[in-house]
Amino acid sequence: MATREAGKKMIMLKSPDGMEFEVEEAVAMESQTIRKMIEDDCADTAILIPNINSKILSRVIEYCNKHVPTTGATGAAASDTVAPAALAEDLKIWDAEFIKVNRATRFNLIQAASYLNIKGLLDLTSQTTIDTISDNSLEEIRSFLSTKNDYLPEEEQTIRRENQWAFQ
Amino acid sequence: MIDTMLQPGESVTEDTTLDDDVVTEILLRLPSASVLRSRVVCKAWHRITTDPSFLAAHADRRPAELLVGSRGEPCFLDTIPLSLQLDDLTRRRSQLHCPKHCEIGALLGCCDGLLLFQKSRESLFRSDSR
Repeated sequence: MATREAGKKMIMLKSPDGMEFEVEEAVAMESQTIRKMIEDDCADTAILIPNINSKILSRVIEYCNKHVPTTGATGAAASDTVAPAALAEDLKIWDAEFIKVNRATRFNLIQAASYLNIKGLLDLTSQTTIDTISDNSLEEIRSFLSTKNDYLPEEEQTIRRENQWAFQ
Repeated sequence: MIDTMLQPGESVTEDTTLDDDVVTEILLRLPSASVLRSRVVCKAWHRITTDPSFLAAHADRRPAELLVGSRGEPCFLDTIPLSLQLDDLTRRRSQLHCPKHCEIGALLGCCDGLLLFQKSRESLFRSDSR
């Protein structure tokens, strides 16, 4: 339910496993998907976030809380006392700690960031996977992503030939 | 650097497989050569990375690059990212795939990362990541 608390508009987010999270509207709007719902007036009551369990949703909210811009009335004090560069450095360190999670959690976070359309979180969570795909052999990539090679050997050879320069 | 940070008792289950949307998001962030290599991973990835809308979105995300080439001997065609400092230029120059014994003619146009050149003998060749 949208309520008011200390002058800030609050939004209720619900996970499919029945947990409810009350967050500031500005925090929820870090998600472009939720922003659109709010702007289209579809968010009067609690918003159900499908396919994202409470454990992952709480991590996503934690990320948005940290990354919500601190300018304006609510964050004037923080911006006045800390230089932007120092803030950015602080965020970088915080992000590095945030992403120290196991693989299943990270994949779930990628899926959540994709559905909720949170660009910063998507960049952060997908980077390890991107590095893996860039730097490792095909077998290692398949193993890392639990993906099966469903090509016949001759089909695989054809695809390799078609994209030959990328394998040189 | 394969990450194997699984918690005790945790296994790679259906929770850790990525759906097409997420795979697309990741592949969009890869350099062109990695995208082409990824086509050999499995059929689904091939389907995703050959889709015209993927190719257009991938080209949109690439940083702006300056195309440099020489028609002399040897002929070459390289790209230089526009966003780098001068000091980085020589180090970050990357070679474009260019057919052997080609003569680079005028660049006629480009679309979604596809470059169309005219060879000096009035024939055409293309250089791209498809």
